[in-house]
This record gives sequence, structure tokens and C-alpha cells, in this order.
Amino acid sequence: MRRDIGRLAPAIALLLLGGSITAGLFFMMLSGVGFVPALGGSVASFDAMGAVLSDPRLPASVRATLTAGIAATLVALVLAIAVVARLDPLGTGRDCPARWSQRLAVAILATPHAALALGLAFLLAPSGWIVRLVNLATGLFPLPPDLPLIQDRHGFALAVALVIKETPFLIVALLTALGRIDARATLQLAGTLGYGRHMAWIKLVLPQAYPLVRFPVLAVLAYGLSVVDMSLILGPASPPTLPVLILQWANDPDLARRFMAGAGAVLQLGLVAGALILWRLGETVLARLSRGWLVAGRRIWPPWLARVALGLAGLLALLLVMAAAGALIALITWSVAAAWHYPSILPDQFTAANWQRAATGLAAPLGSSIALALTASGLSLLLAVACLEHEKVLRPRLVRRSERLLFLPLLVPDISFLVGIHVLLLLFGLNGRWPGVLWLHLLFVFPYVFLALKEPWRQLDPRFERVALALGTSTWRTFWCVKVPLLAGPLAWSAAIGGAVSLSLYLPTVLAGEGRIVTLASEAITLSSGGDRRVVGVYGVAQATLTGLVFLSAMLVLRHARWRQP
Amino acid sequence: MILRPTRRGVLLGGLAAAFAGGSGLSGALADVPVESFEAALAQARGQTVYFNAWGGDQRINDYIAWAGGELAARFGITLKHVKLSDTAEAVNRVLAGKIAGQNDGGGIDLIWINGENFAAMKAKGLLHGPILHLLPNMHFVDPKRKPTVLVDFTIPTDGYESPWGMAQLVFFHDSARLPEPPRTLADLLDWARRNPGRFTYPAPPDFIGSTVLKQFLLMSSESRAPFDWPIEVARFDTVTAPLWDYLAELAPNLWRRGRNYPANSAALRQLLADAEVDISMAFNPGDASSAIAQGLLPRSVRSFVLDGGSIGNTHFVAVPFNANAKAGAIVAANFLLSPEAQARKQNPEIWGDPTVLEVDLLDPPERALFDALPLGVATLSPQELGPVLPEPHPSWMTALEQRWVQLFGS
Repeated sequence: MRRDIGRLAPAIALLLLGGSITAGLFFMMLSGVGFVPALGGSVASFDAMGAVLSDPRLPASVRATLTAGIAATLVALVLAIAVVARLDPLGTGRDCPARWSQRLAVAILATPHAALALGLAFLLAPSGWIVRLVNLATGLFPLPPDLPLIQDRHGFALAVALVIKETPFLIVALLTALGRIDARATLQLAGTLGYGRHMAWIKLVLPQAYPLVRFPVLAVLAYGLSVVDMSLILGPASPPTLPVLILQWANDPDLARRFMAGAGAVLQLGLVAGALILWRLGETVLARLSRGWLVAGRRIWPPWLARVALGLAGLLALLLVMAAAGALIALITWSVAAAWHYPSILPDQFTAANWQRAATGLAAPLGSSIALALTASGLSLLLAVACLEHEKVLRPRLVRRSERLLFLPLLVPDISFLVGIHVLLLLFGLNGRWPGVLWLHLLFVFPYVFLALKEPWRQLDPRFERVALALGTSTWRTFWCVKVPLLAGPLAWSAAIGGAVSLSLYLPTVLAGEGRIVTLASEAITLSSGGDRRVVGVYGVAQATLTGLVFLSAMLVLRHARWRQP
Repeated sequence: MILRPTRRGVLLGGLAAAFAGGSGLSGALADVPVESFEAALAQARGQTVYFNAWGGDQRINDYIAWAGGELAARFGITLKHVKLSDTAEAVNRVLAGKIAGQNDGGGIDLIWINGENFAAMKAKGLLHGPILHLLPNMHFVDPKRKPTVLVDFTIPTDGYESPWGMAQLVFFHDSARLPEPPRTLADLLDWARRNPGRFTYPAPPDFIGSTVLKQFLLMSSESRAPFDWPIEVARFDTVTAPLWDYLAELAPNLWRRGRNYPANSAALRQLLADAEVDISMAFNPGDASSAIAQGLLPRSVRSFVLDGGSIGNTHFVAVPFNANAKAGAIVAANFLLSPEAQARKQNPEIWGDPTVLEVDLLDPPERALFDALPLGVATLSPQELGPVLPEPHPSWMTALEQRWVQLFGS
């Protein structure tokens, strides 16, 4: 019975993701060519696209979008590789320092990116903490310097925030990959052939590991190019990045501008697709170029080079960790500040009034955040488990193919298809209602849950299950009493990631919730437009604490689960 | 800093609804027309009013929360504040409902609105009304003395929106760093040249940024006559040339050398608090006092206006044509107009938004509410505020914004 219902799971998952996104993109295209009869656009034309392409802000906007997205991905990838190579030179994937870095990664993953961006904005701004500290030490800046340290035209500040957010993600992906390719054996073998550890890492481990982290890397790139919330806070203001520009058009009372939003969404899609293709091309070229060097047989780096490279990477990683910590501390400090003006290092007075004032307002978004995170990650977990349990009966090629579809929401810019999906919500009368918000949350939560769960699930030694079944245990009982306990750790972990993703969603929440259903994430960003850092601090801290609690409980389960594992 | 502070926000409501076509999204409740305020009072009990209002300022959010508590206690109405980051979101949502054929049971009952958003909603038939004649508290409003309570950016309101507060463009300076602020365009340019990087304005199409453009336009033009009428495309370049010349001279001396502008007036206020600039501006004359009281600005901040008067208008609340709780919305609008609510709103320790009422028309106990209000350390008296320059026709705003973006925003 279970198997019969469960067999539908992959189809449901495909329909949820592939169907929604295809429909969303279809409607986006229609509006991009202005073919929306009810809005007076009964003839398809390229007027809106023309208006977008001739918008004077477009070149600078696209440039900043690309700079921030690509630079952040490159830096995050190189940094992640260096950190993993340095912390886990033996390629065990579970060394002591590796576990330490994994914890660190969790800490940063658990920090909602909007909160991180809000904190970073205060840290990095010309009147921010860093400049204030420099001024305290040197007296150089009685007035804040007139320098674009945040919201710069090139999107560098945005890139910094993206690097902080994405490096831990890639570190975790790399560590997972190391476990899969048995890097330890490779490194030992290379060692007997006289390869230095670091050289072996680059020449032997990385080429094997990279294909396994390619998807996360591309997802990081797509995210960096499409991010809205962090760009609103740290990205360039005039003109803003392309996704923010699309939002501005989408919101304009002038109907012609809304066709421009559709056209802009098409452009955004093309931009991301182009960047992904470019990245793959870059990979190929790099692989070609390095082939000779890889097999030339050189065994060790010049010692100074390895030391300098790893030293630099370590320093950069440390700076980023400090920046993230500083951002969080800044957020917490603001949430209890009475008045705090330049050049004071600390507020004149501390107060709990901000929290008291916000308490009434916090209740509703807090409740809906928790409800959404629990439901979205619970449902995603169910669906992911059902999919994984039943992929055995499907053809492996089909599984591999459809799996790619499952990750569409991570590669396709969300602003593009969300525009169209909102139509479906309206058709079903789900706009501003719970099912609609939950649907959009599932679109983003499910892929992460599935991504986190699939490897441990597939790697579980099938003999556990076989032995149980051979001993006459029912399928159901085998699942509950053998598989679930064995996989309790990954299950808890995936659920936590799903919950964290749901807690951080901004665009899907405001789109489907229409302001009637609000979460801590959407409220924090709405409030950040009012410039009261103290209230923003309260919401950011609340959001970060909640996400932290989610991971904390997952860790408790993990610890408990490890204990029981054979 | 009040209405529609940024264009940021979301939603392709209208677009979405366009696809939805005429599909049935009809609301559940029958629509009983509201004939009188007494009828509204009776119907309103037990209704939930979704008030869509910009939610970017905690002071205003707190005030709306207070109003919600009073409405619940006195009239049995539940007021839910839907916090917008741009009022256009709400306009889009109502438009979406109209296109989708949702003629009642809509999700928005009351909108905080004015200017081009009102012009758009009125022109497209998205508003319920007229409602103004139903509101008893309109008795204390005198359109002769405050003409903008009935004329919104040159567009007659025709009773489709109820005045809520008065706005006038006011500038703020930190007297600790800038004791004597410049008061004419020439002085401003002069001062900016001598102190590069210390002045800026929010990037149009932000509401305040656009208002600064209009203010500078009126100040740099010889005659205001063209601005009371829809724009004449052929004459736009000639009429606005002095403005663009002036801004071009100013730009290299601005904060970030004019290569970047703050996103909205709240961001600009933060820059003033952070000592990154010396001047900021808002549409609320009490903004500085209120911000000082809340610890958002240093105590040394003071208000000033430019010579020759400053642009002023009124902000309103309106009821969408398909509102689910029209009676509740009308009762809420009347309460927001009550002397008690208006006096509280004007208190700089709470919000500091000037009243639309004529205080001398009130009964003595209610007048006392206003007389007892502190003016606030940084608020100008009505005399100091100087004359109000009425808003140009809404078509100017759009054209100015577009040209500004071409010239400075890219």
C-alpha cells in the first residue's frame, strides 16, 4: 500500500517543481512580449523589451549584477577549496579541524542572509563600526569618509556578503564530496608516489571532487546573480542590480512598466543562463589548459607558494568569519541601543525598549515563520524520503534526468518564474493565503532538503535493509525501525536546512503572502526601508535566533543519533 | 518621508490578474451600500479592516497599532496593518482584483494614499465612494484654509479619499556641524562647492527625491503657471532646462560625487544621523523632533525651509471599490480624522504628523488636546514654515523622474 502511494512521490515532486516553474516562465514570457489582453496588450510586440533595453540604467545595472555574482562565486569557490585543503589535507572529510569548520559553516548557514546583510551594512559603511574603530585609534575620520564602502556601483559590497554566505555552503559541499570519492586513499597513494599533500590535493582530489560540487557552484552563481534581499541592502542603489530593477518595474503604477518587468524577467533569465554557460565554458577551458600540468609529474609546490597561498586564504577566511561575527554582534547591539551616533563605538545607553516596542508586532510574523518553516520542511522531508525510497523502481537514467529538474528553482532566477506563478495563485484564489505561501516555500525548501538527504540516503548500505527483510520484517517496519534510526542524523540535518531556507525566504513570502502573511524575513526587510536600525536589529536577531534554534535541535538529534549508530 | 517611500516592493498583481482574466474569484459577502455613518457604525461591528499602509517607520506602525486598539475597544473593529514597502503594491493588488472580476470581498479595505497612486486609482475606477460626506469629523476640516484636503496633486478628490495628515517639504541640518544652513538654490550650490560630499537627496523616483526635484523646479522657474496643468511635451525641455542645469552643477559636489544616491528619505535620515551628510529632508515638519525623541537623530538637529515656500500636500486614506469591510473602513477613516486621533498623531513624541483639522473649530476640551502638545525641539512654528507651494499636476512628477534617471541615475 505504502509503496503504491509512494510511487507517485517522484511525479508529485516533478509536478511541484517542474510544473510550477514551467508555468511561471510561460506567463512571464507572455507578459514580456506584452501579450496580456486584459491589460490592453492584445498584440504581441517587443515594445516592452525595447523599453528595457533602451533604459539608461540597464548597462550599469547588468554590469553590477554580473560583477557581484561572478566575483562572489569565484572567490567563494577558491576560498572554499583552500580552506578545505588546509583544514583537511588528509581528505578524510571528518577530521577534527574539518568538523570544526563544518560547525562554523553551520553557524554561518544558520544566519539568515538578510540579517547578515543588515549587520554587514553597519559594519562596512563609511560611518560603520570599522571606520569608527579606525577613527578611535587614529583620529583620521572626525567625519565619515565620503567613500562608497557599501552600495558601491560595482556591487563589491554585495559580493563580500555573498562570499560570506556562500563559502561555508561550498565548504560543506566539498567536504561531502571528499567523503564520496575516497580522497584519503587517493592522497595516500599519491604520497607513495612522492606527491606533496597540497599538490596531490590540487592535481588528484580536486579534479575528482569538482564534478560533485559543480551543481552547488552553479547554484551559488545563479543565486548571486538573482539575489534581491541582500542587494536591496548592500547592492548599488542608483541604478540597482537587475533583479531589484525588475521589482521596481513590477511595482510601478504605470501599466507599461509592468510589461517591462516581464521583459526584464526574460532578460534576467537570459543573463543567468548566459553566465552559467560561460562558467561551464570556463571550466572546460581551464581543464584543457591544465591537463598538461596535471600529468607533467611535478610532485610538490615551491614551498613558499603553498605557504603564501594557504596563508592568504586562511587570513581571508578568518576575516570573513570575523565580519560575519561582527555583523551579528552589530545587529544585537543595535537591538538594545537607545541612541547611537557617529563616532561612538558603543551606544550612549542600552535599553530593552526596542524589544518591548516590537513585541506586539513580532508575534504574528514569528508565529507564521515557525508554522511555515515546520510545515514546509516537514512536507519536503516526507516527499524527499518518498522519492528516494522509490527511485529504485525507476530507471536510473530517468532518475538522474528528473533530478536535474528538481533543482530548477536553484538555477532559474526566482524573480523570473515567480512573476508567472503569482498568476496561478490568483487563478486558484490562493494569493494572500496560507496554501499559496506554503506552495512557494515548498518550491525552494524541497530542493535543499532533497539535496541534503539524497547522498546519505543512497549511501546507506543496502544490506541493512536486505537483512531486515530477509529476517521477515515487513517493509514498513524495516523502514521505521532500521532505515529511519540509521538515517536520523541526515534526516534531522535536512529538516534543519529546509527550516532555515524557509525562514530566510523573502521574495516568495511577499509575493504569495501579499503582506497579509508576513514572516520575520519579510518584515525585517520592509522595516529596513524605514532606517530604524534598532527595530531592524530586533527583527534580525529574532530571525537569526530562530534559525539558530532550528540547527541546534538538529545537532542534538545528530549527537543522539551518532550515539545509537552501530 | 511619508507616502510611498520607495519603489521597492513586490508584486505583479495587475499583470497576474490580467492572465486570470474573468475567472471567478468573487467574494463571499453581499455588498450592502453604506448610506449613512450610523448605518456604517452598525455594520462595522465585528468586521476586520485590512489597512494597507507603508510600514517602514516604527513610529507610524506604533501609531496605527494604537488606532487599532481604540477601534476594537470602541467600535468592535479589528484593524490589521498590512505593512507595505510601496503603496503601489496595494494599487496593483486592487487593480488585479478588478481585472480578475473580484468586485467584492477584496483583500484591502483601507489604503494610505495620495498623489499619482490616487490619480491612478481614481482614473481606473478602483475606489469606493464618494465617502467623504459620510464622515462626521469632516466638520472640523476647512478646505478654504487647507485647500489640499480636497485637491490631491491638482486632482480633485471628489470625496473619494479622506484627509489624514498634512505634509510640507522641510529640510533638517545638524547644527553641530552646520549652524547656518543655505536657504536659496544659489547658496546651496555655493555651500556644496565649499563642502563637497555633505549634501544629497533621495534618488527619484523615490517620493521625497521627486519632491525635491519639484521644489527645485518651482524655485528655478519664473512662473508656476505651466505646472498646474498636464505636461506639454513640446515645452518640457525649455521649461525644465534651468532645473537640469542646476542639478548638473550640483552633482559633482554631492555625497559620493553624485554617482550614488540614498534610496529613500529614511536612508538619508540615517546618513544625517551617521554624520555622513549635513542636511536631510522629509515631508513631515515634525519629523526631526520626533526622530530626536526616539533617539534616531542627534539632539543638535534643527529644521529649516528654503526661501520662497516649500511644496506641501495632504495624505489621505481611501477605500477600494471591492473592499470587504467598507463600513468598517469608513468608521476607521472617521476615527483617524477625530480630534483625539489627530492630536495624538501630531505629538512629536509619537509621530509628529500635522493635523488636517482646524484647531479653532474644535470644542474647548478637544482644542486643549492640541494646545497641550509639545512643539518639539526641532519643529518650526507655522510662521517659520512659510508659504505652501501646491503640488504640480501628477504628469510632471513622472516626466521629471524619467529625465532625472536618464541624466543622473545611470
